[in-house]
Amino acid sequence: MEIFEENLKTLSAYYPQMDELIGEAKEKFEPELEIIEEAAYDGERIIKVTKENRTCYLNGKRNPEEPAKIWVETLGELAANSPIFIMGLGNPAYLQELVEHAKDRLAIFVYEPSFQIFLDFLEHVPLKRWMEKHLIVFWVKGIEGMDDKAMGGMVERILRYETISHYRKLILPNYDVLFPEEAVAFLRKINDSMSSEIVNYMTQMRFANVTIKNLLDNVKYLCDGYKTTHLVNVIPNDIPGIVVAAGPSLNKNIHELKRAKGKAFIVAVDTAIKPLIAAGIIPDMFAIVDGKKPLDLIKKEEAKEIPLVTTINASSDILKYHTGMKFFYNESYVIAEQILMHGDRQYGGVDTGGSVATSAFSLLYKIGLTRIILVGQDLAFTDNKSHADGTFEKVMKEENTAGFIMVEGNVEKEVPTTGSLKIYLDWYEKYIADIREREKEEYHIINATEGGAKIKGTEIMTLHDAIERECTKEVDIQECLSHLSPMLDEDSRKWAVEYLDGIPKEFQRLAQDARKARKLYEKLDKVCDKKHIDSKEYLSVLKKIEKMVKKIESNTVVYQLVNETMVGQRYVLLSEQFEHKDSVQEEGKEMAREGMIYTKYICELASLFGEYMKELREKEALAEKQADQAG
Amino acid sequence: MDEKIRDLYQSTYQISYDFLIEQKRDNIEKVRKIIPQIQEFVLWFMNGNRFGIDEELYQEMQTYLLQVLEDITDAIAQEDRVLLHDAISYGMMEYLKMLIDPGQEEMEDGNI
Repeated sequence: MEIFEENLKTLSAYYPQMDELIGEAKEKFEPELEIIEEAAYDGERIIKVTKENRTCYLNGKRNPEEPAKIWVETLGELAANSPIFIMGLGNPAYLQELVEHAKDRLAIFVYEPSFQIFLDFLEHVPLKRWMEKHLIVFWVKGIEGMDDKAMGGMVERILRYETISHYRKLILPNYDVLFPEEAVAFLRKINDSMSSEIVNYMTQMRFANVTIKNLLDNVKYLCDGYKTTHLVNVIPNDIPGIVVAAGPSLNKNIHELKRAKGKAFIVAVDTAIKPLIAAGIIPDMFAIVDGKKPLDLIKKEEAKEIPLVTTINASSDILKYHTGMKFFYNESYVIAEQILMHGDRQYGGVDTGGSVATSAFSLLYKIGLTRIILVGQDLAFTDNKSHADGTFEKVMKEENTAGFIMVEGNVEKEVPTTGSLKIYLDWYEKYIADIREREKEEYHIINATEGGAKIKGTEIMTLHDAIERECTKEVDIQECLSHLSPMLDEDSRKWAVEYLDGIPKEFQRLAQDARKARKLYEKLDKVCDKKHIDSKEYLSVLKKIEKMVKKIESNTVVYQLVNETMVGQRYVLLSEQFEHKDSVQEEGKEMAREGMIYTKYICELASLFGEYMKELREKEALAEKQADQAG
Repeated sequence: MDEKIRDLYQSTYQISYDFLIEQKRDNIEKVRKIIPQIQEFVLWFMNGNRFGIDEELYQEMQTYLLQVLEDITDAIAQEDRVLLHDAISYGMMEYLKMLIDPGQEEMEDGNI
């Protein structure tokens, strides 16, 4: 019991209240397996476990430690902060070998699906030294707050894009036999987190160049824009919502949508606008989230006035062309949040899911609609086409889908899809499952796509039947929307204009601070050039750098925009920082090198954005003046 | 029999390698396929002391080999990959190593 008590103390020092949580779980848990203790041939304590009439050893009796030693050898040299994921504590030799042999500090995530085995581990293995050396997160089924669902969030915190190349995972032998479902869930969490990190990174890379330009161009629309949270007050929740995506199957039933007009809240994705207008259907709203969508995709007189739900960094050409009501929701950009939260403090995000259609779906759910119909949401290359005819081209050409992933279809047995569409498909299935689990009300999600991939959790129907059953009440959405006021009243609008006028100065301030920080890094470089490093001077420079970096980062409104643009450079610098350096001097030199590059970029980008924003604000002021005079 | 012992050693070596280095967890299925060869080897070993070793030691080795065989059988019945790996790599392979050309055995051990 001595080791156990000591371990509780250690754990609660790193994770407050962990001792209490373990205590509570200990009182509540019901044994689900039998742990049998044995001595190995060399006298070491080993265990075997009986679960559901099956008995399995967790360590070998002839050589309990060698498999763990060899596993650690196969990992090679591990860079600092490498994320290591382990499932199982039944053979502590694996964790022991890892923590004792890694030179640098690791980020270790240990998942134990049995609270009983975790208790046994705590009773026999002293943790103090291990916890001092590495970041070790124990995730134990049965402890409050550590359910499988919440695990993903913790895995994501450990597995960051810049450390993905260093990551390792291990499911201890026999854990896959004793806990098969948990093992699959564990691997899925890791894979999901990796996919999401990679998608985020690729998206950031793809949009880095246009995102901030769009954002600076678009931020002015917030002054007269609307908030999606206000839709809850005007859209009746007893009508169905329809998401019209632009998948190839849209051509099969687009004409049916005429019957739904005035009996549902129809939200189309940007790419579906042209085919809808061509079919004589004006949706109630359309959505755009993509920063690179070409204007041609929606360039139709009829589209100009259709209410638009959009993100602040969506294609500025489209937002400029569009003259109707623009709806925004809370995102992560501080520059926009200041305005969004100025009018009223009501926060309302939309879960993006990565695509415009998933965002539209989430919007309909968030405004309280309990019946949602999906149309044209193929999530696959139905008939080997990427989109409906009439979107990018009059007749979309067939693609070669030979190497594509095959998934279960709505109509066909299997349909070809791409990696990114599969991510959206997974998102839908998870999102719908979560809605069902979370909400007390009954939700009907109908997939009326009539082709494409099957989305688990949806009811498959023809659009004709779905409209027949769900669209039974008359509603005039335009009339409903006419009751809304912009998110800012006159005074708030005045404040927002002044706030935006002050942004160029903020960029200038950031550029100045970055220049000062760069000089400090140059000084650090010089200090580290000396044969014998003056530790007092070294520490003094480091302290100044730390202070200046804090100052730079605290200018969040504009620093965030600069930082996001540097996604590529940031990745290189962050991944390099995990490489081991042999001396303080080398480390200092490396820090100075990275710091000089980083601050150089900050300075250049802040100056560039500042100038651009200044020009925009001047043009805006002129336009307002002319409008006033004309008025 | 020499060739059969060498073949069996190669097979068990590969299974052990896959388990330890590749983290493959299919040793049950793989060992199941070579059970006839394992049984043939055990019977051959039990069928008289032809190795020129002390009789008492031979008796002990017989008993231990039977224990290894029992562990293999139990492990397959319970689908216990840990016990199976232990019995094959640190039980059965020790006997096989002893009986094949020492040069070859050292070389392959180095690979693991």
